[in-house]
Parts: sequence; structure tokens; C-alpha cells
Amino acid sequence: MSSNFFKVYFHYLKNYYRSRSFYIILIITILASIIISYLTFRYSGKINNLIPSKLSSLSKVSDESLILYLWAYIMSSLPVFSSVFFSSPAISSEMENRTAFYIFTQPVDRTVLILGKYFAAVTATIISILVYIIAELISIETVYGFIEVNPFILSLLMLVLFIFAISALSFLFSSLFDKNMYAYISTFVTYFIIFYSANIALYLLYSYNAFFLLNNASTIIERVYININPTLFVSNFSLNPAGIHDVILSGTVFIFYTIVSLLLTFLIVEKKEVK
Amino acid sequence: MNVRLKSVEKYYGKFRALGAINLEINDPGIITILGPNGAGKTTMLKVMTGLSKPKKGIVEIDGNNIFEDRKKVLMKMGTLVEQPEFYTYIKGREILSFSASLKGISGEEMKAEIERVVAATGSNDFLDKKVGKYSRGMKQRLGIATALIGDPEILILDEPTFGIDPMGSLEIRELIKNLNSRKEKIIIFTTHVIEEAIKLSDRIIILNNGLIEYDASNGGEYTLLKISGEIGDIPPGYKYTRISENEYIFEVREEEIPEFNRKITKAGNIKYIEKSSMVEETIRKISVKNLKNS
Repeated sequence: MSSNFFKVYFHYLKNYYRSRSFYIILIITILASIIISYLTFRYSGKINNLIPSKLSSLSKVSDESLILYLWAYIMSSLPVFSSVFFSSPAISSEMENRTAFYIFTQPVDRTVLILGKYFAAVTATIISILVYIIAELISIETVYGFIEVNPFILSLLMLVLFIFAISALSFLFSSLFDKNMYAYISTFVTYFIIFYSANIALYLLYSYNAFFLLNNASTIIERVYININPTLFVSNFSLNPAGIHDVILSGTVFIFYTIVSLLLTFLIVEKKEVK
Repeated sequence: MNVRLKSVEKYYGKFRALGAINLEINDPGIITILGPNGAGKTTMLKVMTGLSKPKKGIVEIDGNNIFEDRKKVLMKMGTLVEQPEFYTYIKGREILSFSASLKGISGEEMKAEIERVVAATGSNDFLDKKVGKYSRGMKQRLGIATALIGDPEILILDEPTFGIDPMGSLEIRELIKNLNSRKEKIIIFTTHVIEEAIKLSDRIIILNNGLIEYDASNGGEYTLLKISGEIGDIPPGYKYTRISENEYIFEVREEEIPEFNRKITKAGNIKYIEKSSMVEETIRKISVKNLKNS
């Protein structure tokens, strides 16, 4: 099984990194890197001046933490766009482009096929975001001369887990449809409309922080610097980094989404008809 | 090596695409599935290759249920179902390497195997280009090449000459004929072209509305001989239908026609003999029936 997994993985990875989608997402990442790098260099030491007076308490936070928070805030959105490009059409495209007739008649288990393609999509996403991480490291090192290793590593670890989770969820949507467009729309609508509205509604109506929603959990990527959840209208935020409890909780949510989404995807694809 | 379909029924919604089909293929050779559009030819191949699960019935390849031992069955099988499509950013050669590696072929053996199928399908000229730049005919050739990888015991080819120019079609027909020269494989293919089926096949199956209308099993193609005249003693050993007092239709094997002609001329006062292919006749009947029903 493992040897077939690697054959499938490299085959799909090749198709991903040669694709137009890969270069589009790379360009988006480079543009984001340039903009935040400019902000970092232009406003180093003056970042607190940009904070509105209503948020004056933020001025107590170190310049570096604020900048790292901004970098991480953008970074946590990038996997969502990458997964739309790489993962949302992963299975639906096999049907729409009729490659399923070829790939599903090869002597390899469908589970191995999906797993290999999934890891290839995750790898392609990580590679495309790597540019942003390198730009962040260079900017912070150049402006501040050092970077706090622990929160930085923790943020990256959470980012990787988030990539696994959002990609798995996108694979699940992809397995439900035979048209790429439906898979794209479902991923976007679920993440940006259903999750966000549920998150806000639950908080405003019941003061309940829906930690189990993927968009909410993804804020841990920036909250390891300053514990402000940008998906909620929370007034009692903390200027300290999120605690280990928050990190473990979000990490568990990511792992849960990954495992459940992948298992459902395997079940659906195993029974999928190629019409 | 055998292929068995037992009481297979396949529905798309309420539409019955197949069934109930009973089919046994036990002998190597070329088995052609003929039939009009929508007859169920491709559905039958999809069911045989595990792409589509029937509502009822069992599909067994070499005693293995395709839906329970898919990987094991596909290891022995080469398939080309529908017009093939491949990943656009991958080169043809890489597709062949991938297929070969999944069949457990590696290293020098893989190189030799790729060269063999490339030579057989005439795909050398475009194999190092990305598939996104291929024409329909190139994709078709690549599809046949992937099906041939690993020299499988069972080949399933859905309209293999589709989209290929006349010269190319001729080459593909020759290729199929050569693959069958040692009678070691079961080669199942679908076509619309009756002449192609008659020239190549050891067995012809005609499908219509998801059912087998005709199955010339045990090899060979029967010819229908419509005979008009007064016949005394009907020569024994020939299957016939009396359509009017002085008109008969006999089913005779192609190679037995001269002998039959000699016997029937002796048997009576024959006015004329009209010859037609049993396959052509069945297809004609199906067309008329479908036209009436439409």
C-alpha cells in the first residue's frame, strides 16, 4: 500500500506544481508578502500610531507582536484560497474532466488514490505558502533583529494542521459533486458564510464561543501572538498570547476535521459511480 | 481466464441501461459488442471494469468479483472506457510510467514495456509533450497504450478507433488482430462499424435496449441465405426458418457456403439465393424496431 501511495502522491504532486492554479496562488502569496513586508519596513517602530484611539489598549503590545499578528492573520486566510484551487476540484475534476475513466481502472485502491492526492494537495498548499513564511522571517529578522522562536513555531504548526483540516473538508465537498463549480462554491460558502454566521450568531445570542468551527479554530494561528479573535465581536480580549489550552483545543479541532472529512471522503469515493 | 455476468441489471434513475444480462466469455479471442447508440455497450464495459455498480447481479473476472477484489482484477486487465482523458500537465510518457509502476513494473523492464506499447500504438512522436497539447487521436492512442501496459490477459476497449484517422484506424485494427494472433487474451471491444466487427471478431454480441439480441458464440460468423424455390428434402444439419411456402432462410457458416450450395441445388428447383450477414440482418431488424418504437 505504501509504495502505491508514494507513486500516486508524486504523480499528482507533479500535476499540481505544473498547473496554472499553482502559479496563480503563488502570485497571490507573493503579492500578500510584498504588501505586509512593506508595512513591516515602513511602519517599524511606528505601528502603534496606526491603531485607532478606541483600541488604545493595543498600544501596550510590543511592535513586534502586533506585526507578527498581522502576518499570521493574513497567513491563516491563505490556505482557504489554496484549498479552493487545489483541493476543491480534487475529485469532482476527475468526473468533470473524465480522467476518472483512466484513474479508477488502474490497479490501486481508491482509498490510496485519494490519500495520495490529498497529501499532494497539502504539499502544494504548503509550498505555495512557504514564500510568505520566508518573507515574514526575512522582514522580521531585518527590522527587529530577532524573532521569538516559540510562538513562531507554534503558529506554523497550527498553520500546517489547519491546511490538513481545510484541505480534507474541501476533499469531502469535492467527493459530493461531479462539477468543479459546485465544489468551489460549497467550500467558499461553508467556510465564509455558514461558519462565520454560525460563529457570530452563537456568540451574540448565547455568548457561546463555537470553538469547533474551523474558521474560529484557525484564529489560533495569529492568537499565539495576541489573543484577539478576529471572527468575533469580543470586547474582553487578551493582549497576552493564547494559552496552551487554546492551542490544544484548536489543534484537536483541526485533527477532528481532518480525520472525519477524510473518512467520509473515502466512503463516498469508494461507492462513487463513474458516469 | 473468463468473464461472467450473471443476471446483471443496471439502472440510471428509472431508465434501465442493462438487463438482465447473462454473459459468459470463457475462450480467448476477440469479442465485439455491437449495437446502436444507447444500447448499453459502454454501460456493460463500465460494469465489467468496476466503474459502475449494477443494481442486481454479479460480475466475475476469473472467479473474482470485480467490486470485492477490484485491485486484483484490474491487475490482469487493460481498459479503455469512453474517450480517454488524462491529466493535462503530465506528459504521455509519465502517464505510461505511472500505469506501469502500478502494475508492478519498474526499472529497465518498465522502459522496455513502454517502448513496446509505444511502438504498437505509434505514439512515439508526441509522448514527451504534456497531454494538454494532445489531439483527440493522440489521446486515443495513449489510452490504448495504457491499456496494453503489462500485457494484460483481458483487454477492454471501448470504440478504440474513435477519433483516429482512417490510416490510424487501420493500424489499430491490425494491432488488435495481432494481439489476438496467439489466442491468449480475451479482447472485448465495442464498435459501431459492422464491417470492423465482422472482420476482427471471434464472437459478436449485439446489444439493444440493454439486452443481448444476438450472440454468435462458439466462434465464427453465420451468414443468412434466403432461398426461393421448391425444395424436396432439406439438407440435414442446417438451422432454417420457413418464411413462406417456397421461401426459407438458412443460417450457414461462411466456410460451409459452397458445400451448402451444392447440397441445396441438388435438393430442388432453386430460383434464387440471397446472401446477407446475420449480424447485418440483426442490426437492420433492431434499427427498424427502434424506429417503429420511437
